[in-house]
Amino acid sequence: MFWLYAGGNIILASFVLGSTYSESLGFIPAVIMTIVGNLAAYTICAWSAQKNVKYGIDEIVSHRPAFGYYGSVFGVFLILAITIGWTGILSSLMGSAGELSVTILTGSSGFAGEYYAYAIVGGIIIPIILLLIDPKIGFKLSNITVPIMLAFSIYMLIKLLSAENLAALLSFKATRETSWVFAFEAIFAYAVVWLQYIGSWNRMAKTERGGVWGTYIGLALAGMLLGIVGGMATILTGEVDPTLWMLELNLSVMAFICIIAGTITTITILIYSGAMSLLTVFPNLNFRIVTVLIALPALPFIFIGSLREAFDFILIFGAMLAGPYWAIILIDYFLLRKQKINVKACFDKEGPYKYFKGFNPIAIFSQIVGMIVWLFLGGWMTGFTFITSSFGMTLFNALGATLPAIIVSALVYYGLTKLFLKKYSFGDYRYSQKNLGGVLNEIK
Amino acid sequence: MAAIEKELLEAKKWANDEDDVVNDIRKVDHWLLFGIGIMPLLVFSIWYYIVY
Repeated sequence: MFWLYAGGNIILASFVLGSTYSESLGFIPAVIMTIVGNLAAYTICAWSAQKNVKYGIDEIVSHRPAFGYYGSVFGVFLILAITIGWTGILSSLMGSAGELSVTILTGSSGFAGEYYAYAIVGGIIIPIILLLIDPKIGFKLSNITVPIMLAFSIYMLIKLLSAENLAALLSFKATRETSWVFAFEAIFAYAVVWLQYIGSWNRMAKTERGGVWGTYIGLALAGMLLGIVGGMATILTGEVDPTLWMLELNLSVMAFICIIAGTITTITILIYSGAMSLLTVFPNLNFRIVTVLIALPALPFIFIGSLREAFDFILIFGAMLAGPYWAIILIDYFLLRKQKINVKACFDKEGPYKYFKGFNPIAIFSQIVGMIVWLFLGGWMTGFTFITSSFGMTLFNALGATLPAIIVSALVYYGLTKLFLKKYSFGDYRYSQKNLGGVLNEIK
Repeated sequence: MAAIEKELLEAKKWANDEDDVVNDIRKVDHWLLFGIGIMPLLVFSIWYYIVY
């Protein structure tokens, strides 16, 4: 499991993550923040992995005990929204990499709009064609591109640690525009956004312990390595886009070809995962049509002002929606159900996880509360004045936004569920308490 | 496409029964995860506030 998850995190976006806070914190604090931030953030992924390893069920199916049979469709919406966002961001990286590769190879200045041409062809059209030929081609390609990207990242780290670079890094004066809380918020939001993808892989693990620790160590180590490299490169060059700092650091065209191959691979895997999540809920849909429908909405992201803006956009909205959602699922699984769920009921529309017309109102209410908390604390990051609060900003500098939103939504869900369970029997919690497999409900 | 259909059909079958579960995770794993994950961040945050 280690290599599967490490490979999942060896993508260009992980470089960008390290770049987002390195100049604000400075070299040493940024490196330490990258290490401790990744160690902390991926604990939530490891804990989330356990339920899927234990029961061998897909991520979306495992959401049904908490959100209800139809309520878990919100998870599909999240997966699709985030997949579209990532596809757009990675496509824009394809545009820069293609533009620079052609310039280096041919020595020509290129043609007008070539960035968009490379982004659309490389980031959208080629992955669609590959997926139409073989839906699982991304996993086959990753066997080649992940080791190459890993080797490339280690090479980059060694190159960046030269005496000259090290002197420049140590003498760099931090801008202090943001505090360590913002850096952790970015790392945590990035980890939360990954939750939906890793779940579908966990069911393939053979043991709980292997799945949980493989998820944790794989994701955290890859995140640290790429985050440190990206952060150091940004301090040295002032560029956030990996293709631009690679150009400034005089890397050969081979680096760009690695980037292009790695990006195409990642996009195909992301679109495949998104399509499979949708097909899990709506099995009658056509895979090819779903693939195209997921890839095409990514186009607007290519035209967004800068890579940094697009990256911030996906992190902000991904964390706000996904943070409280997974908090509810985890608190339900670990504390309320004591790690025991009724698997058969997860596939039964009329079963105990039907709640109210397929939705669990307590979970939906708790999700909304968590989102309100996030907007109060982190609303200023969206740029909308009507959700910008100066008190919220002050609190953000001490607490962040995603972690408090997670804690509040989990507490609200736990408290309300306990309260209503005193009066009513719902959600098959008796199964978890007595492990009688829903028999009590059938008798009643 | 056949592979997709097969995977979707197998999705339900893949679900483990309670007897099939390799339930080898222990409380110590959760505490270890908490210790490795959360404690360094707490130490770093205190250090950062003191130094900066």
